[in-house]
Amino acid sequence: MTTGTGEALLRIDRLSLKRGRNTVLDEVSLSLGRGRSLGLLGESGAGKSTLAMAIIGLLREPEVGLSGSLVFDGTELTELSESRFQTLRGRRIGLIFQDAMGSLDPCFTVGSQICEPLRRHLKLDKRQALDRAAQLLDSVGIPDARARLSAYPHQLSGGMQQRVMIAIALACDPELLIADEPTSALDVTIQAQIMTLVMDRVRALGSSAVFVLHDLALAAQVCDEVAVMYGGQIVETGPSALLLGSPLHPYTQGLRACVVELDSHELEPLAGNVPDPGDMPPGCRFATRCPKAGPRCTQVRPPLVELEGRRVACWVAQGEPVGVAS
Amino acid sequence: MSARAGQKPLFSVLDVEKAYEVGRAPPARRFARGAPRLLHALDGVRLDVAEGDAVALVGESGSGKSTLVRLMLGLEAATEGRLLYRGTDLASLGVEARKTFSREVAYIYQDARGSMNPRMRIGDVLAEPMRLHGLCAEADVPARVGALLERVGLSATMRDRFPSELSGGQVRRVAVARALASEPKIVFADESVAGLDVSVQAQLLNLLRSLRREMGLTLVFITHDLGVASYLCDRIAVMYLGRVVEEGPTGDVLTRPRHPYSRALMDAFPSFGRPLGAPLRGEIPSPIDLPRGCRFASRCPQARDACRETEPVLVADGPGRRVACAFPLSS
Repeated sequence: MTTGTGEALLRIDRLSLKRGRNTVLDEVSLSLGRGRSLGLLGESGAGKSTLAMAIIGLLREPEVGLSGSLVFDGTELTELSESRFQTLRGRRIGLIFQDAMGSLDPCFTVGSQICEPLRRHLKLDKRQALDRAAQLLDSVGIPDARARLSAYPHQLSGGMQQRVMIAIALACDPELLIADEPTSALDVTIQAQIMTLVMDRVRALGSSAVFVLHDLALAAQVCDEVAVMYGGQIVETGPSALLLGSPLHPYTQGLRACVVELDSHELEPLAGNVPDPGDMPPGCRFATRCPKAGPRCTQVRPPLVELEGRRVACWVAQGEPVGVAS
Repeated sequence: MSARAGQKPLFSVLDVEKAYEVGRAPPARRFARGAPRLLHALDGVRLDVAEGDAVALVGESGSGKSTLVRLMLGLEAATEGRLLYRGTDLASLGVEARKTFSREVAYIYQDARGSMNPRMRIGDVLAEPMRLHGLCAEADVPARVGALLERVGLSATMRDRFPSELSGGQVRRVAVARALASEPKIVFADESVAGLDVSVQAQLLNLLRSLRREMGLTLVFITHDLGVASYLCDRIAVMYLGRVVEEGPTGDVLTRPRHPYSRALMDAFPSFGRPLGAPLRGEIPSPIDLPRGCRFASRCPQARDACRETEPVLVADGPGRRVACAFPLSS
């Protein structure tokens, strides 16, 4: 997002990612300022998690086809060697995955897993690392932190495991935190605790954060900016309150109308499903499900242009006639 | 739910307790057996479900929602108390009555895909309850299966597919169709719309809503999503640590919650235009070795000394509402 607050920490420019013949990310451009939080929204298969994985260098050539550029604090990430990447990952970029139980190693104690980045990146000795690990666990709201260091992951509840993941992700005070659905498996009460905790810590460190979320209301609560993705493209992006309050893209409007609130009377679900990545229309990818689409939409891809304080890729929103093919 | 005047409840849960034995305490003297340690999954639950009602059971993981439903389905016996279906105790159902019960009471499992035999085609998954209960002649089965698939918004050609070939939303629809296949009077659903994309979730919620309206189904819906509860159900029972702490008409409870736990659940629910806040500290405590007094006192922002002494009982609180709190929130 162009935020105007100095130089961007992360700048993604026309990033495309191919798996075989399928274009999973299609010319994604975004930028994230320091101290800002960005939410990636969209249905399953929109490419949100793929984008997050690409940013942290877990999807690379030759496994996938990459083009475009990913610049983190002046460093071009797409050309970085794996060994150089390893000095960034966990150190300057922290990661939280959705499945905490699957991300923690069942064979090692929680303490040793928190100590690993501390010893590796910060070169602390064993005693220092353990002290710092206990502080970290305490700071993420785990009672009796010192004793919990010797617990194995399975001995903790789902909420506690996710707190451990957060402690590991924030262990080295990263400048950028990437969190892929950090709370979608948890109760709302625990979700509220964990998100409050993450945001408090991120703000205290002055870090930036990218959240992959499927809950629009949660995104409105925690993100400064959001980017709505569909079929590997960004269809609308801008300040979260503005964009979710008065969405311009029919897809964002459709998602918004699907959210159940406490006073929802009638939901208007989006019809149909996301097309297969190999079966996308040449124009706007959303055209097959869009209630407003015309012939032009299916044939010509709309550009992402500035409109009413955000960027949106839609011929209809841009006031272009769609009735005729151009 | 307090049964309305003149209406006999379809289901009555009468002071039901369910305790599981989880090991034993250290014995008082050598070689003796220690007293059993009990996990109180349910403790004194009283609930009526009237015909045509849609009741939401809400609460965090560990509050006893799923245990209550397992008991109501007759899958497990209560340790104390009675469960009545149309006035008959589930424990004393005869062979014939049990058959009727299993036809009239359907269940939609939380893990829809896991609840289907991966080697059976969708058509057979749906035909099984019809054949089992002898609902129609064998020749009519394919037509009924096709109608059922269309009723839940799937194409009738879906009958030849295997569960693994369907998307998450489609599998949930098949699970709904299978529950309807035996023409039930009451359907229990366990988190049937959780973990889906909002778009698919909205489609499924609208399906369940229209089924309810058109078929007059009675519905008991387990959910931790208050939005889902308010959209689908006209009554709500909020559970905490094995007890119902508040119940009443959904709209009333969600606009004027009386129990601090209901209030906290609402405040934790993500909402546009309200800042993020964590209303509750800590997690639900262990149901083994319960503390004295109110179970919620350890996390309650309003707890006073008296709350840690006596456990409040569920008492009437205005029309159709009940609450178990010594100092309910003013409405």
